[in-house]
Amino acid sequence: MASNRQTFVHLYRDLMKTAKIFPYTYREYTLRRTRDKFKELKNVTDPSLVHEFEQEARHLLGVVQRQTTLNGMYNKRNLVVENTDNAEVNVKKSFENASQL
Amino acid sequence: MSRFSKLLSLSQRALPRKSPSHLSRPWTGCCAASSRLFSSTASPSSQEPSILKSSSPASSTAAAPATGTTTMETPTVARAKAALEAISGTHPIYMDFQATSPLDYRVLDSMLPYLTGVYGNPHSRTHEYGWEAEKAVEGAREEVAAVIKADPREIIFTSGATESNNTILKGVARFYQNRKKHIISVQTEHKCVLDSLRTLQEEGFDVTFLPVQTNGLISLDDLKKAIRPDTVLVSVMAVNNEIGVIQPLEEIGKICRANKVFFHTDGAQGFGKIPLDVDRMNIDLMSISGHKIYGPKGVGAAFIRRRPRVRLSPLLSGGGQERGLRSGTLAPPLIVGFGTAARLCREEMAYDHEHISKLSKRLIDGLLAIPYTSLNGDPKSRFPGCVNISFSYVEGESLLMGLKNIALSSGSACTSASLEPSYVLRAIGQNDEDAHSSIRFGIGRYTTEAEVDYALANVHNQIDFLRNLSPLWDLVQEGVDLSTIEWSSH
Repeated sequence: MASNRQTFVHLYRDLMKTAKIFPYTYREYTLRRTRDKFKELKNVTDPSLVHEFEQEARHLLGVVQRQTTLNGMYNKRNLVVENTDNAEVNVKKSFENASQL
Repeated sequence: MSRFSKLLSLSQRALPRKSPSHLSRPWTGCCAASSRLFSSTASPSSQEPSILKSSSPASSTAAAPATGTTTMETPTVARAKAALEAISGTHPIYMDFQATSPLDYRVLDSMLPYLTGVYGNPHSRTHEYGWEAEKAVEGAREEVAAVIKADPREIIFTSGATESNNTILKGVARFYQNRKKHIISVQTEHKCVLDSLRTLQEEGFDVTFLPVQTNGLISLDDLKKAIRPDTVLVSVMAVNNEIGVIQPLEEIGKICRANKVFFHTDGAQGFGKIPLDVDRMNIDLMSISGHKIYGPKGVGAAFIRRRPRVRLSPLLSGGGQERGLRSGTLAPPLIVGFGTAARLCREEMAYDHEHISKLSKRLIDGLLAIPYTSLNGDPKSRFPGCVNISFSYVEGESLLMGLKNIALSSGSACTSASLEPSYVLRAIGQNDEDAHSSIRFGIGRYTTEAEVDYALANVHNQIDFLRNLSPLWDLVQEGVDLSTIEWSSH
C-alpha cells in the first residue's frame, strides 16, 4: 500500500535524522540497528506484524527524541575515533536542541 | 535559534570563513556572537588545525586553549572555547564491557518516570503510589524471568550479582548444614564466590576447588569424582569474566541432578548474552547482574528454583520482602531499568551475538597476526565478546599505559588493584610473565568497526615500540631460547 510505504519512509528518515545528534556510542548503534531493522521489514508480509513494527518504530522515535535532548544537556565527550570536524557540529546541534525545550 | 542562524548566514556571506571557531558558541547569546563574528577577520586561526588534529593517537593529552586568537574575546567565550577544545575527540574508546556496560538509552527512558513522578514504595499496599510501583516491579520480574525461561516467582531482586552470590552460597549452605557439609566450585570463579566459600570454610564447611584444563574448562570426570554423599552445592560460572570461556552447563546440570546436588551458576556475564534455559540445563540457582546487560548499576537478581524447592536461610533480616529471602525496600527505578535491559537482551540476543562475533573475529585475527601472541581460553566454547590475549616479551603495565586512548583491562576489575598476576590465568597454566602481559578486550553491543580498527592499529604500534626497546626481544629474534640463559647472580 503506497501510503503505508511512505509512512515507513518517513519514520526511517526521522529516526536516522534524530539519532545523528546522539553521542558516538548511541549514534552509531542506533543508525546501524535502524538500518538493519528496516531491512528486515522488507521480508515481513503479515499486516499485523507490520502494524506492530510501525508502533514500535514510533515509540522508538519518541525515545530517541527525548534521549538525544537529555544527552545533549549532560556531559558530552567526543571519542578519539570521532571526526573532530563533525564533533564540533554535533556539540553545537545538541546544545541547540537542548535550548529549544 | 532562528535569530542565530540568520546572523550565521549573514556572516557566512559577508566574511570569508577563517576558522570553524565562530560556529561553536551558540550559548553565549547572539549579541556576543555577532560582535565576535565581525571581529573574526582580525584573529589568526593558526591554532585551529592543530587542535582538530588532536585526535591522533600520538597526542593523547587534551589540547591547550588557542592563545593565538585575541582582542574581542570575552572570558565566557574563551572558557567556552577551551571547554569545546578539551572535549573534542580526546575521550578514550571503551573496550571493557566485562567490567561494566553503558546504560542503554531505552533503559534510561523507561527508568525516568520512576525517578520523577512514580515514586511510591512498591510494598505500600494501601494506595495508588504503591500499586503502580508494584506493578512496575512485577512487570520487570516477568521480563527477567523470561530471559532464562524461569517462573517470575523464582526471581528475587538484589543489589547485584555479588549480593546474589553471597545470598545463594551462604544461604543454601547454612540451611542444609546439619546433613550436608561439602561444596564444590572451580578455581576460576569470581572473587565474590571464592571469598564466600572461604568464609564458609572458616565456618566448618568442606570446599573442593576443581582445577581447570589449559582451555579454561573443567573436566566432567573431575566433577563426578569430587561429588560426595554430603555435597550440597556445585557452583560453576556460566561465562568467565576474564577469559570468556563457557562451561559445559548442560552436562554439569545433568550430573548434579543425578546426584541430587544443587547446581548454582554465576550468570553475571552470560545472562542475556548466551541462551540460558534453567530447565534444560538443570540449573537450580543463578546470580544475575544488571549493569553487565546495559542496565543500571546497583541492581541484580537471584534465580532460586521452586520446583524442586531450594531452601535457603536469608542473609538480610527485616520485613520479609522478596519471599522472606531478601528483606528491604525494592528500588523501582533500578528494577524497571533492569527489566527493560533484560527484555532488550532477549529481543536482540541473536542480532547482538552476530555483531559481536563479527567484531571479535576481526579483533582476534588482527591481534594473533602479531608474532608471539596467544588467545587465552578455549577457542570454540567461548563468548566472543571477551577476548583475552597474551603478548609475550612485552610488559603488561607498560602496554596498558601506552594504550591510554583505549579503555582496557588486564584481568578483572576486582583484582586489578593488586600487583599479583590474575589467578584465572595462573589456573589455566600460564607462567607469570605471560599472565602479566595479558590484556582483556571487551566487545559489546555498541562497539563499532572503527573502534576495533583503532584498537588494532594502536596495539600494533605499541607492541612494536615496546619490543624494539627490549633487549630480551633482540635475543628472541636471534633464536636464543630464553629458558637456557644462565643469569649471573651478583
